[in-house]
Amino acid sequence: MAVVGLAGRERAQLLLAGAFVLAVALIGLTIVLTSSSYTTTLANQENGVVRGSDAVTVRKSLDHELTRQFEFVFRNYSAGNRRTPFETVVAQTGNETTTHYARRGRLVNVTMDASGAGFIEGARIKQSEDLNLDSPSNVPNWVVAEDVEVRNATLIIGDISDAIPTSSPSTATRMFFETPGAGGDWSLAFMEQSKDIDGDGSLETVWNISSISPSGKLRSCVREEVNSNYEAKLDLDAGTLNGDRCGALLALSPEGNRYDVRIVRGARTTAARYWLIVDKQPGSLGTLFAGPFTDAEPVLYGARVRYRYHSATVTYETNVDIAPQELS
Amino acid sequence: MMGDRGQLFALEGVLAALVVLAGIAFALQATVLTPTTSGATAAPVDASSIDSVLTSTAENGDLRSAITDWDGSGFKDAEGEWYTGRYPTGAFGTALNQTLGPSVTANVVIYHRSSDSRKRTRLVYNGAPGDGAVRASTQVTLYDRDVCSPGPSPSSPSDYLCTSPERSDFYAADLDTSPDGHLYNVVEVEVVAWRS
Repeated sequence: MAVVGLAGRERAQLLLAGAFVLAVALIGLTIVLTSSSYTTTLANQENGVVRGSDAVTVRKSLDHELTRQFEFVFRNYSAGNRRTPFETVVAQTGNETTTHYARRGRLVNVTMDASGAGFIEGARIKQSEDLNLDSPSNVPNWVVAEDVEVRNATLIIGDISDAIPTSSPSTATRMFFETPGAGGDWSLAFMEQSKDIDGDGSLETVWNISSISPSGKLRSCVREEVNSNYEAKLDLDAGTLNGDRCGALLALSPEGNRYDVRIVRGARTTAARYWLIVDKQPGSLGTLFAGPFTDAEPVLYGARVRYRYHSATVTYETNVDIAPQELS
Repeated sequence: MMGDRGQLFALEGVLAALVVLAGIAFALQATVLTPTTSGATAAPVDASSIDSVLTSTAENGDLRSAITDWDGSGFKDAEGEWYTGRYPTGAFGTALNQTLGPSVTANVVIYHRSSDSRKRTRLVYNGAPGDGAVRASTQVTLYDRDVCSPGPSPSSPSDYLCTSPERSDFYAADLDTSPDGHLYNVVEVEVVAWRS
């Protein structure tokens, strides 16, 4: 009897121990589940500051505001006097920004290299008188600028020579944007063609501007013949011809890539003016601009500022290039 | 036999201790289970929506137009110095109205620095914020040409600077009054929104 009683107690103790194990397991499971749901709650409570999107938003805002000042300085100050008014605003904006965000526990600043190295110097190459698209020394195949990033390439064309047929790209004036050391060249062709525009059977002379992509795709815009009564303004950056969108030009994007800019058979386009801003200083462009009408002058191409953002959870530092899309 | 029983008792003791510890851990967890235990109400609008309005209108200039639309004593077309019960006329007010909707009330406050202190100017004020208010803010850089009119045909950069009477008419101070000082002020625009 005593033996049986002892075995019964041991069994009861085992059952009790089993119950304890079950209880611990259930409580543990409950804790895991509640922790999971609490983690979800915390994740949903994250804001832009914690996630880091605030750092990007502030950078964009500063980029936008400093670009406005850069454009103002570019348009209203002469070439040699543009640095100081921009640098002053960068320093002041940086100080004010730091003060504003310090109240919210964030360190935000924007600074510029004190040595002036933050400025990106460039050149404006221009032909300001109505002449052929020749080089100053009348070379039929000449390089306007080598290995440059081009911004604001604008051509104003007043006439196409009638002396030589220019109805196909192989005989017309061509402007090439060649990738140095590689294929993938874009080109423009300025042509005059005879077309039945009105559908009345009579042929009219029209001006055709075509772009040819690296893969050989041809895109064209057809406009009224250019002559002494009608000149055409090509804005390569905006992709417009006399202010209207032109599919041939829209496909071309000279900005953001480095090119050799070459003009072939420039003598067939007469009464032309042009200007383009490149990211090399005049001294680095060689002697191409020794002619009497084509010249290159220094311009402020862009500026680089240092942006810093530190919060309790995010550290973000980067250079911001202040370089507007289009300046003339 | 007695040795087996001793081991069972020891096991029981350990498990009982685990139950007690697990119970304590559960109790501690339970105190932070709900973020709304303080009685906070749900946010009336997502703060990121207000952020989007501020960011987009700051980029396209609508926000700058709204905060510089000052006639010397208050914001143009406002009942007093600021708008009450409605948003500013113009694209910024329209964007804010469309984002917040009729069931949400908002204040728009502009913080700006003067030479010696930080000041506050109300653009929209509808009383003290209610429960569950959310806030969002952005920074706007004002140049002299944003605040003052340069005249019909400005010919030099200095023509874009504010004159002394123009400065005294505006609610924020000109932080750079030097002959070539184009920065006017860097202001913070804050929107606080809550359910009506």
